[in-house]
Amino acid sequence: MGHLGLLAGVVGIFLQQRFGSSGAVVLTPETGQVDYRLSQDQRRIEHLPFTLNLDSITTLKARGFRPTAAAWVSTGGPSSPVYPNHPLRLAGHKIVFLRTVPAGFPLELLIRVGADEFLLLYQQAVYIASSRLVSFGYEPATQRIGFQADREQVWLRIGESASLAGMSISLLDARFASQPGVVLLVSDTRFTPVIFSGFGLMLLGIALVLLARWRR
Amino acid sequence: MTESILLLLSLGGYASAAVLDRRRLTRAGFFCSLTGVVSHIGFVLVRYMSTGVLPFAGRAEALLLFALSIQTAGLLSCLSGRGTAVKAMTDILSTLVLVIGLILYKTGARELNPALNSPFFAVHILSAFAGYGALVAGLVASVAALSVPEQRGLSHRLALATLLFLGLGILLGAVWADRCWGRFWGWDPKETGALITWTIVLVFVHILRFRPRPWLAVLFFMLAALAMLFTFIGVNLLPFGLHRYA
Repeated sequence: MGHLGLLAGVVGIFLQQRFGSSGAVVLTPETGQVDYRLSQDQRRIEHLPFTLNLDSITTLKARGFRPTAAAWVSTGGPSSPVYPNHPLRLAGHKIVFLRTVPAGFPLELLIRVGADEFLLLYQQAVYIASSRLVSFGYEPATQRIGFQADREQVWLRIGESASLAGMSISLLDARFASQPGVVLLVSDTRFTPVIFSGFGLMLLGIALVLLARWRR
Repeated sequence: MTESILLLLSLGGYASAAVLDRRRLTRAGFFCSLTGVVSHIGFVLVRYMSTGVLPFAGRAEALLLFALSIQTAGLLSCLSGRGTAVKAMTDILSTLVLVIGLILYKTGARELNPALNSPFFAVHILSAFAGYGALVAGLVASVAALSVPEQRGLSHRLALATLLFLGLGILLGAVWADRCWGRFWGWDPKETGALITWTIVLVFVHILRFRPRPWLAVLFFMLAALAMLFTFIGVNLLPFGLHRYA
């Protein structure tokens, strides 16, 4: 039983690594209904089978713990809270509260690389030839955005241009959040039951062996 | 005040048992151990009622829990009728760990990270520490088995108990992480250290069918104990990681 459980758990991990996915969704009152996430590995847009809307952000207080924010999120129905240790499950996905973002967080960036223009989410990657161009940082006070490609970095204000990894890059426009928002992680949950039940079965096998030996 | 009294009672119980049981197990030593364990559990409950959180999060609190787990493992080994040589040593070790924990312990309450506000906080930590306690008792039993062959069976059972409880701690931590951070594994130093410890014990349990020599059991338990010490204390020396004590 123990070895079977171990095998099931390892197969579950393989399936999760191979077919599972997760990505971040930034929600602020002005983003409206969002039906996509930014994948964690490739930093590409992935569409979701549902929409997420941030209704409000409240503060939760529990005795002995620091206060935490709770995002009230609606997915086409009534509003549900999402906060640490309290994910929302929907259509084979798990929506986990990651953190809040302050006002001034960059939501969308319009850039020109060479002759092409790209409208990107903050931290969304664009693949040009063999280079991976991605925004990695921002300064709310100066409204500067940091870009990185091939281990080279450059900081740009709106209207500024620079050369980065042999490319000419311009920040044409940027939209910043005017109110605080939240970052949620939307993960695929299809294979996690296989992983947990597999390893649970393995531990049950160990427990039975231990029980038998202790009685002997 | 009540917390301090309970901790002192606990220390008295462990230390008295260490003195009374140093040559052979005595009924008085057993009851001293039991008093120490009950007082220690009483401290945990009183602390929980006064602060709202279980006292498992800080370094000193973790050391106190480690002392409780060692003492309990020794007591259970003794109750099973096989741990005569083990309990004398676990009494001394738990007393030492408790003294270090008490030196570092601060009574003031502090607010914890809201990520810790979960039922998994208790079960994950208690399972992992039950595994730590079984590992320490197993190491003692394996050393005792060098001169008392009857202790070999106990060290093997304690290896299985380590595998079970540490594995349960890792699994419950993974389920908790999946709920809290959206991923069940992150190669955090503590996670990795616990997995290495568990794997060493797993290898040992699998070579048991080849009837290894007693010194090999000592070697495996020593390796696992070193990995456990890194997992328990060493990770706090690293500048990163989600499990560093505040």
